[in-house]
Amino acid sequence: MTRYGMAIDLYRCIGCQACTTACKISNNLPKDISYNVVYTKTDHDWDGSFGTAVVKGALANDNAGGTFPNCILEFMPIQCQHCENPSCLRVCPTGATQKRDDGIVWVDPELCIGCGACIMACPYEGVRTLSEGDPEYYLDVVVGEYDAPKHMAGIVEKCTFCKNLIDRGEVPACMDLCPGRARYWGDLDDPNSEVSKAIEGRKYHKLREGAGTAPNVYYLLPPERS
Amino acid sequence: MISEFPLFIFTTLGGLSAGLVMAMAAFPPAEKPARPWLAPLTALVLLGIGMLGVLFHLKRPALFLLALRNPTAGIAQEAYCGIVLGVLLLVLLIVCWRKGEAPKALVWVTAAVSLVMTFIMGFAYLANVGTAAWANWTTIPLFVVGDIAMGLALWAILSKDVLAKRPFTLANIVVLAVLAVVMLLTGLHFGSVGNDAMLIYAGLVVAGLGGIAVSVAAQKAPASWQAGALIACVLVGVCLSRYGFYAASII
Amino acid sequence: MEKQESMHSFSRRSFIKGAAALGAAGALAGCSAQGSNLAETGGPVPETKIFAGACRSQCANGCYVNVHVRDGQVVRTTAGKFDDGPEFNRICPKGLSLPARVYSSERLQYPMRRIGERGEGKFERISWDEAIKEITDKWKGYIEEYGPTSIAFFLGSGNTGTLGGPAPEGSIMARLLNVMGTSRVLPDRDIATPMSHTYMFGPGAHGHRAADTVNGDHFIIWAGDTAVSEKQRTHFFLEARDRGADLIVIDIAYRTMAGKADKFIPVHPATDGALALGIIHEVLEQGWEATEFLREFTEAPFLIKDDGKFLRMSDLGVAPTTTTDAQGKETTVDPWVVWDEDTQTAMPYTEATKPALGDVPDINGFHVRTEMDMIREAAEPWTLERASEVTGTSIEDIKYLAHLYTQEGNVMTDMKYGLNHYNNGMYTSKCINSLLLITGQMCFPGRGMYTGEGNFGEGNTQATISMPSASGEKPRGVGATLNWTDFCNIVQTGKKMGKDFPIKSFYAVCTNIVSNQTEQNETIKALKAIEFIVIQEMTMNDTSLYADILLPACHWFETSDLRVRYYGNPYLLWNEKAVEPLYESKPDADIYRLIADAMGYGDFFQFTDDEYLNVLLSTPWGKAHGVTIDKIREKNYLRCEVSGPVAHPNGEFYTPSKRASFYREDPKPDYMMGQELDIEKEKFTLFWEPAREADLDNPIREKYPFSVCCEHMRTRTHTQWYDVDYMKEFEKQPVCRINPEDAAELGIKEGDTIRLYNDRGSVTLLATINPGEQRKALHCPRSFLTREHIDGDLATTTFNDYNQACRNQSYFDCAVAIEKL
Repeated sequence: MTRYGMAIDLYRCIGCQACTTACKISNNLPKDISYNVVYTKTDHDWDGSFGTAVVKGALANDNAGGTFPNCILEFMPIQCQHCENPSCLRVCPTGATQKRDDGIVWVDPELCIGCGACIMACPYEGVRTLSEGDPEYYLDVVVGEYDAPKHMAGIVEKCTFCKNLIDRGEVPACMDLCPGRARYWGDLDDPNSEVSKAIEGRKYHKLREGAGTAPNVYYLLPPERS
Repeated sequence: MISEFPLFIFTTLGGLSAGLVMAMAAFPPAEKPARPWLAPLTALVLLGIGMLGVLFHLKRPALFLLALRNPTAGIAQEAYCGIVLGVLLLVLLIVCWRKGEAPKALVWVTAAVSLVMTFIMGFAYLANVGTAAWANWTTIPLFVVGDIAMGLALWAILSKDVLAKRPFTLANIVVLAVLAVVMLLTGLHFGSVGNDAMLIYAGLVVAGLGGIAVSVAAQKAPASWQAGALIACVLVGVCLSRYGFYAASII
Repeated sequence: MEKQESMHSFSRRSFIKGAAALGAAGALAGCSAQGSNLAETGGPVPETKIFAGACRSQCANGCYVNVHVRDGQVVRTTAGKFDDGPEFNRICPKGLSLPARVYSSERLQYPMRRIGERGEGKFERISWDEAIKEITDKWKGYIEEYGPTSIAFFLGSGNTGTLGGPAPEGSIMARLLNVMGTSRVLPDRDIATPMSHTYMFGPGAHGHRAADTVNGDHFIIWAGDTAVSEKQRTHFFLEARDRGADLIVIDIAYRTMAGKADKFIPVHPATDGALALGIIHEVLEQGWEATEFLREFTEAPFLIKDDGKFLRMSDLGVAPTTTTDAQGKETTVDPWVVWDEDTQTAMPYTEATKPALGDVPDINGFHVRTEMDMIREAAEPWTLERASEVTGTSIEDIKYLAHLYTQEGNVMTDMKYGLNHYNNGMYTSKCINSLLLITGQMCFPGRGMYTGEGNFGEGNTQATISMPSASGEKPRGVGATLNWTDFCNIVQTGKKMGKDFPIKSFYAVCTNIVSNQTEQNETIKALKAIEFIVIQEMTMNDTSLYADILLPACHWFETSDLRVRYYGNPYLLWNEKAVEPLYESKPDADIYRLIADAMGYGDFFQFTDDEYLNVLLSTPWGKAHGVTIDKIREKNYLRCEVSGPVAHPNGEFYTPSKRASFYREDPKPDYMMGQELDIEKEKFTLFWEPAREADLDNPIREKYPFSVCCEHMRTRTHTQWYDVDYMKEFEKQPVCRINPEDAAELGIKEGDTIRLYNDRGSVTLLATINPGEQRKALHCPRSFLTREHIDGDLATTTFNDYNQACRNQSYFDCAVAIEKL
């Protein structure tokens, strides 16, 4: 059975924001919605605070931490973890939040009543956005794929794993080309898939496993320094 | 105004309603009350306003019927229970109005559903693994015991002289003592996950200590001011603690 | 924005509603307004066509992109894929947000004429005919009265397409300049470090290619953050590290690549040359220098007489001969002399089997020293203590680098423009080049400069700009070449080096000089002193505001073009026309032709685009490999590797001596503006002096204690993308990164409004605390327009003076004081 997941190599991520932009355009996202956020992180406590991001209110991305010249500067992209045991699934009263057979967790905009229960239940803060009013866009023209997710007031939106693209045999927007070669996706149950090969032999971390959600995003850890 | 204000209204008013029914069942009036329909009506109205509160919590309230689709969801369970409770309260109201008194069996069934309701409200928060402050066992008794305490206090207003009865004041003291302990544990848990517990401790003082003081005074020498003082202490105290609870919302 | 509304009656909103009113060329066919998601109508799946595009803002990368078009509208871009080079597949947030540039509300829609004050941004709409007539009437008048040099063309780099771009490598604008004989204004940007390579190694490819990175044991990124300014080369470094190489970053601040490195070595701003000298000192002290490399491949054994001239065979009584060089010019042959240790005689260097590096006796009565002697002498004072004191780098780290460069295998060095952007950039770069030669870290697999993929050769520029007209007439040739800073003085004084030099008009295309040259107030003064300014642009940026006639250029995807100039990927790219030009905008190449025609030079432009491009492609390499525009269009990309994976292979240098040079007996400055010259400084490559204002010991630092590095941004190429609001989700506004201790001393907290100022200008922006900054050094992103600042502009704070011999804008050599507001 296909089980889609992601691997993100924290050593290769340079915080360039290509993946966030690819997602934003391909999905024609409104101004205040980001499915994917690349955080600047100044420690190696991956389960602690995700870090800071301009899109989440920080003044600047990529300020280091520590004391010069002994500093730390890392980048961590966070989007929906498409968990094996999603806490959002249980608490959605309408069944808008669903998990496909291939593992993709998605929200049906027609069924979402905007109660926000999924946001409160999800241990990965910031991956879901509840739209207050009508969506506002940066451009007057529609951009992105013709079957981009629907955007409207009062619903919750999050990463769809670009199922619209996957279902047509194409590549999720954020996965198409990461300049650092940090992002991988595919069938976690297939040992020959790109994502499985990326994970093989690497030390990795899965976020906040104590919450019991069994996330399907593998964060490949930076190698030890000499 | 916290983001979860509509939910705060729902659980407080709905909880007050449920607690009132449980108090009615546990401490039936000695003689036939002058207005037997008043308590059921109060409970029904409180529940109704509370459920309206849920509607305001939804960004797309016109679609609220969809909220019944997923039985594992706390909101859906609260909806099912609320509807059943509402129907029972309506029946109770009509029977009280017509017959002049509340039949014991009906009252106990309604009280049982009310108790379930308070558990559901508390239990719903345990699924919120994203909000460490809420996903803790202390949340359940915070709601259940708080609702019972509020119900007892309201019953003291609506049921003549119940506060003069020792069993009632004793029960009050015990419930408020348990509530105080639960609030303390909740506050400590909040602190341990980095959330502000100030309002919860404030609630502990007002509802727990204040309420117990009034109940002890009532035991010693019943007076007419005590019912009003009790409901004020308990309601304000529980509201403070709930407000503090909801303020931990990550939304 | 107030300026927008007063400018023209056509506001942004009306472009959608009034689209039909625009008329044929500018109509926005079938554009979908927001709110109508096609998928929900349940109709047939709309067709998406993919066109080949070249993102060409001159970011020092430049990508092959797929342009997705639906119903005549650009809806998305994705990375184009090379079937013969997947390691070069790439894209970035800028490339991915290109649709927002096409449909930007800042797009110029029609030609305009200024009606307010220069810089006010008040314009009235005119027709293309009116615009071209006004430009050419005025130019014809100036040419008649003052000659064609009274018109100055600025060949910038905002569009690296050949037909449309303003780049000097054979663009149609460059040809127009050559045909008309106008003056050419040089941007004088990014000169020091590249020229240092050319001076010492000769003209040619200086850097190893990515293919050779497998051979590097150690990679040093020196003075720049690849992850920000050259992000597409980053993965090659990281892959090398994953393979077991180690990564070392030398920089003034702890930035992204420092976070990926095995070792971060801090250094004070602009002192990298002193660091190189300290390393050289240690290398020589330990006897670790690459003796055989120096002997065989460099001019280290060459002999210098007491008068500073080389010892040549003529000094030994052998008469010089003459020969013709590759260009057919007659040259003198008077070989350099070395002392051959094997035979203990003086002879031409080409004949010696073991040229001595030292201990050379007097020859024919001349007392001589080897260049190696001079190297030892120059390195002598740079003890570990002194080098550490000047650079702020620890003695331990200096010793570490000396050991690394000589005892630990193959070192690949990436010399980045943090070396270039100071007044002493040339000296710094030459010292580091010298280090590479002294340690033998060049010319072999895994040992060299890893700086990118070289170039196609940027085309046969000479042929394109100088080919005759249809009737055989030759172009006049460039009228005059003016350095930027000199140009600013000339337009205000009317004189160049004391002689009259009237400049009446200025023409610039897709290049935001007001924002991107140093010392903005000087730029503005210069523009205000010019009678007639023509700006051709896509958007209403800061330079557009100063136009007298403003011409709307179309977007790259609205026309076809060839991208020849590339960095970091060895491909020529064909950009297909994907959509129609919006509004009344025109392809740049069409505009040049309109101007040429109206000027009476139409005869010089009687070629098709393809014919022109095939001339450009007819370099020796191009001809040998059958490179034509049709061949490129087979896949819309063509891999062209003019040089091999190893630069200067086996010691092949392109200097007159064919060896790497440390010394020039008669150096000339790159420019002459009447500046004072101490030419001794330019002779020997191991000369170093501090920068001007970035030098911690400069007394000016008492008044202005902080140096500012005006850094690149991830989400802009200079000011391009200022109009893409998506990018503001990542870099929202001008900020000043400041060290926490410095901030605490000044009582500055995160988000405080501060003003940076010096004698030249000031800027008000928000402070952000960055522990990655060293003390007394600030980083401010330098790509914001004036209107995006709270007050002032960062570009007012830098100076536009040049080094005495090197014509270079010093973007980082700037000291300021901080005022907390």
